[in-house]
Amino acid sequence: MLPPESESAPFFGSWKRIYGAVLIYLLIVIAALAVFTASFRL
Amino acid sequence: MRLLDWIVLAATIGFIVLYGLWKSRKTSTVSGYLLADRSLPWYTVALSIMATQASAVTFISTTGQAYADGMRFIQFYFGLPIAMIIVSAFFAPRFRNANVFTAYEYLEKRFDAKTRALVSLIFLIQRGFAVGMILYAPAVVLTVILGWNDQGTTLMMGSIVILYTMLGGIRAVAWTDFQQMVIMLVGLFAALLVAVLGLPDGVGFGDALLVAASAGKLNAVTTNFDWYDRYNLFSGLLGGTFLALAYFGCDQSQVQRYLTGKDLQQSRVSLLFNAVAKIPMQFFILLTGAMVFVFYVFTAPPVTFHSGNLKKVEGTAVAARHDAAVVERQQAAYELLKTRDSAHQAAFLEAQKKLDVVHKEATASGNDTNYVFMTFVTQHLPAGFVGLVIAVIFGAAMSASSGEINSLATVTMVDFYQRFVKKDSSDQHYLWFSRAATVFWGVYAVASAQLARGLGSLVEAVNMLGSLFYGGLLGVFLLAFFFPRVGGTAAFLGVLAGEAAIFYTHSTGKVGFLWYNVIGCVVVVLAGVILSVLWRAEKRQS
Repeated sequence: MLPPESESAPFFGSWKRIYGAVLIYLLIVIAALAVFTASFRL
Repeated sequence: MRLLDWIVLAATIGFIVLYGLWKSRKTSTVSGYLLADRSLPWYTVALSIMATQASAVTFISTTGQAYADGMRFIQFYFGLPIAMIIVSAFFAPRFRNANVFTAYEYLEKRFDAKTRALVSLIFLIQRGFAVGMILYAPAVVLTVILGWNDQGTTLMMGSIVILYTMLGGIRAVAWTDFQQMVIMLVGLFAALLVAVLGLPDGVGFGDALLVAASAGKLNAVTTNFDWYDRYNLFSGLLGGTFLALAYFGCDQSQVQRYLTGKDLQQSRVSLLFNAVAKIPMQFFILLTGAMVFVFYVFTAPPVTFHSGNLKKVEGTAVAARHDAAVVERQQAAYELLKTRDSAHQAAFLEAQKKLDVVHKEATASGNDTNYVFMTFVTQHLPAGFVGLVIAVIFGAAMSASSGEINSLATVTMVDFYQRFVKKDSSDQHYLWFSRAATVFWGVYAVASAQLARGLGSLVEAVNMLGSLFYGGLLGVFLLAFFFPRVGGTAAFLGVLAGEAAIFYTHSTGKVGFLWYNVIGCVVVVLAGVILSVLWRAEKRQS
């Protein structure tokens, strides 16, 4: 469930955790791609 | 193209357009025409954002880029999730709370009319150029591959786009985008599947990955820093963040998408969906290009994929050397798969480099990167799928250009006509003008499509053109949001200084274009802040 929010509640608010999760996701994706790049070196 | 391909192509495009028009049949107000009465669900907004960004260039040129240069282009998107968070947190709420139709309307509320007019004008110039390229990209490729007339192709696509964008407004644009995005993914998956299934017996997907990696095509992360290198981890994270921030935060074609969301929450979810989905989607597209490369390791590729230039080099000494290098590379690939050791991996890379040298010589009269994917599709996909992939290319060109045309018409109507020409008129009059502006920009797009000829890799041309202006746009919005003491004139002069800095940097030719966004943005902010501080100090003294 997404946090409830009104139009007049800008910026981070209860979305902080979701933004944090997206950043962690980005780090995981870059790490996974780095592993992908390196994994076929014989 | 076989009969089945024509049927699939006509049915797909026909369905998409009719569905979009049916969904937008009740549009009768300016708010409905330009912002869909702020009523769209997040998934439509999300896919519409992705479809507007994914033009035909994405499929034609990105797959070709993976074929020629590997997957490192994916790093260009590393900054996107960071930008999406910033747009979601700071840009979307401000635009929604200000109740504006365009991002530039906000600038007048915050600064003054001249800053709004300058930034709107920059947007019209920049996107006006890009919209022609978006339409021309598939036409030029289809001309070479299928022998279609490029003027006829742009005219046909442009007419369809003008029809549904003019009649249905942003609702038609968003719903057709939604359909087009779904079909794009189906078409790409079909191409990837055919490339993998077309490998020789005994060569599986894992083997294909090894071959692609050994030729340096799976270089998804590169950490060597170089100012002129366009795609590495650092330029992707920093330059990519600034470019995506400028694109999603300040470009009306994107801002208008998330303003159509039912509420702020729906807008934010649609943006974050992009943050999560974009890199995997690009990975998928680039992997398709890399698999097409492997397919051509085992199936002899033509000397050049540009069939127009092919006749010029066929039978020449270069062509003979090319064919010999192809055979040598194929043998090296089989040896590599048999032994799976580093010595044979190095030998395969050496054979690849040798072929690259001959290929460069053979394509001296014209780069063939943009023709690789469509040559593969038309020559190797089964009947029906060729029509589907061409529908994907058409759909992508149409979704991207309709979004641009719609936003160009919106800025023309809201930021110029309604603001400076006719301030107090009826809703029906503004609706009529919006439709007329849509037709104008549609016709302009078709006409300027001819100017896009001879620009090399089309995806880079589009991104580079954006980078010449986006830094300035982003800078002024950052001034507006985060520097409350900076006034209109300082912001106006800041934008001019930022653009001057970008064009000067471009003229030196020493910095990769992704950095233009950073340079332009920093100069705008610094100039705006310094000028306002100086003026305040002067005022205090006097």
